Amino acid sequence: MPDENNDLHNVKHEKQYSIFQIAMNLTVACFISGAIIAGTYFITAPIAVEKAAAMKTDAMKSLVVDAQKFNPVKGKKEWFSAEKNGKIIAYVVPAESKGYGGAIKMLVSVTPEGKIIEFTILDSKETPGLGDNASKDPFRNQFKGKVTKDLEVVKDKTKVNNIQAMTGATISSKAVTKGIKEAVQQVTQFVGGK
Amino acid sequence: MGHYLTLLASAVVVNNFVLTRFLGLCIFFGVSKSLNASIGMGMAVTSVMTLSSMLAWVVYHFVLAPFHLTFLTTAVFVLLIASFVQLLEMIIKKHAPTLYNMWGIYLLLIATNCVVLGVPLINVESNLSFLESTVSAVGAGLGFALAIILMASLREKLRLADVPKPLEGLGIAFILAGMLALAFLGFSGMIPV
Amino acid sequence: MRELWNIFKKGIIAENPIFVLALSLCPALAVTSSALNSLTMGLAVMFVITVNNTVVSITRKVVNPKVRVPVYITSVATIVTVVQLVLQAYVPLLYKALGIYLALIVVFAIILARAEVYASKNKVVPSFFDGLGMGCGFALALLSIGIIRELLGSGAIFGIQVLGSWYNPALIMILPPGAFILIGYMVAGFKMWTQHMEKVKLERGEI
Repeated sequence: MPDENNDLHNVKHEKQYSIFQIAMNLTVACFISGAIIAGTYFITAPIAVEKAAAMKTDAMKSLVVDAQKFNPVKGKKEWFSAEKNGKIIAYVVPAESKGYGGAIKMLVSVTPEGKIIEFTILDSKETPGLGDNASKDPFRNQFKGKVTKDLEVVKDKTKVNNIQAMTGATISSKAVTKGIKEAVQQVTQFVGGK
Repeated sequence: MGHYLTLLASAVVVNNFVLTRFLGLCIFFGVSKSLNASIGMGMAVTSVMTLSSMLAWVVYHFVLAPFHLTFLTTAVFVLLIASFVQLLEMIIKKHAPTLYNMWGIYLLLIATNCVVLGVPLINVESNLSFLESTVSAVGAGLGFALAIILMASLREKLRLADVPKPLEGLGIAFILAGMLALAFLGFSGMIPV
Repeated sequence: MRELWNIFKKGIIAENPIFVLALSLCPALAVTSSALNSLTMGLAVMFVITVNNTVVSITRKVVNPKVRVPVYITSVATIVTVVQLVLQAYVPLLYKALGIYLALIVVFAIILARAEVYASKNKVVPSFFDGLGMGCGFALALLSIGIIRELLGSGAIFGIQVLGSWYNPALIMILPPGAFILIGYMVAGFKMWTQHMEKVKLERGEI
């Protein structure tokens, strides 16, 4: 069965197209495309923003389980204070340090007295199976309740107060510890200065 | 100065765009059959990447971002780069025929290619300055050239080897690329970013 | 009906975009370190290629042949941006996991190739099935690579631990070299299988 479209195509190819026709064709396509994208954006953008905010609150809630409310801290970018019964029970601060494969971005929750509650790794490019395990136990659990002076990476298993390095991932271990230590120091400074 | 050298080295070896970030594979496997073609392609890709990266940066920072149109980034970049490459090809063909014969013929192959689109997108994502983006793009191109030239040299040697039938062609090429990638893996962690 | 099934089927095996045509390989290695990412990417591409084929076919008589490539690119870019926006709004974690590779769908050779080779010259319904078949083949290829890589590289599938702690994961599988080598073998395996099927059909007298 001869494809009638092919005949149409052949006939069209003999036609001479003016630059205007060609340009119009493309312009119309662009306009339609722009309209569709803009339309979708207007529908989905508010949802995306809401989702992002909800995810952030969830992340912070997992760092300070008892918190009832989170308030942004004035004068400090991306800092949040966790409130319970009107009292500030923790600060949630961002931390960043140079890891093995790139920057490691973390979120750390610290009590006003300078004790670590929890931390989570938001973004990292560490080696899967080695440095990547920083976000998992047992490495992660070590930080709970420690203060600044404990935050040193050691390989000696008897020094339980310090941070045991992950096997084969010393650089990642040191980077994560350094980032968290800086965060704790900043909180102590902030609280002390108030 | 050191910062830019680090950026360059990072793009060329540590985060090689072909062997680590998996971009530009179609041309990588297609063209690496001949060493000469690979050298030409490497030059074409480096030139296109650098120039289109600069153009894309300008468009993003002076048009898209200020007007909150960043959701159009993908579409705009693609059309921008495709048209730009087309234009470049016409200009080179007309005004620099020797250059054209060296690598101009590959230009249309890379007009819509993931590595040429990927570099400006990564630059935008990493929030690099104009100079940083350009250096990164040059590095990406050089890294691509390095990878494809290495691959081509290896494949030429492969013609004398006894490859099992099913692995012939694409199969053995992939495995070879895997070994190259393994070698490049040794560079990771070299530069604390 | 049989026609449509054949059109659909060829995208999955005979002309599988990844294992046979070797087009759009970049994502095949980049996102397949986990089965979930592979599935998401596969479905996204399936959606884009099917919709694009349909759109190109519907507008094939209106599009000026001299600008058809830019128009196709515009069309694909629009569809991909829409997918990006929707994913960003409803499953932001998956969106982040796919990263720029989602945006790169715009330049997939397979999508432009199908539009040019098939959709621009055929009616809407066959074009739809052609796109669907190719997309399906692509998604299945991606999914199989993803499952193998995740299983061997971390002992899990879709995040569910399958192999117990006795299994020391072959980390290389989730790193670039493992991906390359695995696909090399899979391409060879695919070739062997299709050749075997051809032989069987020949013996049965079907060809």
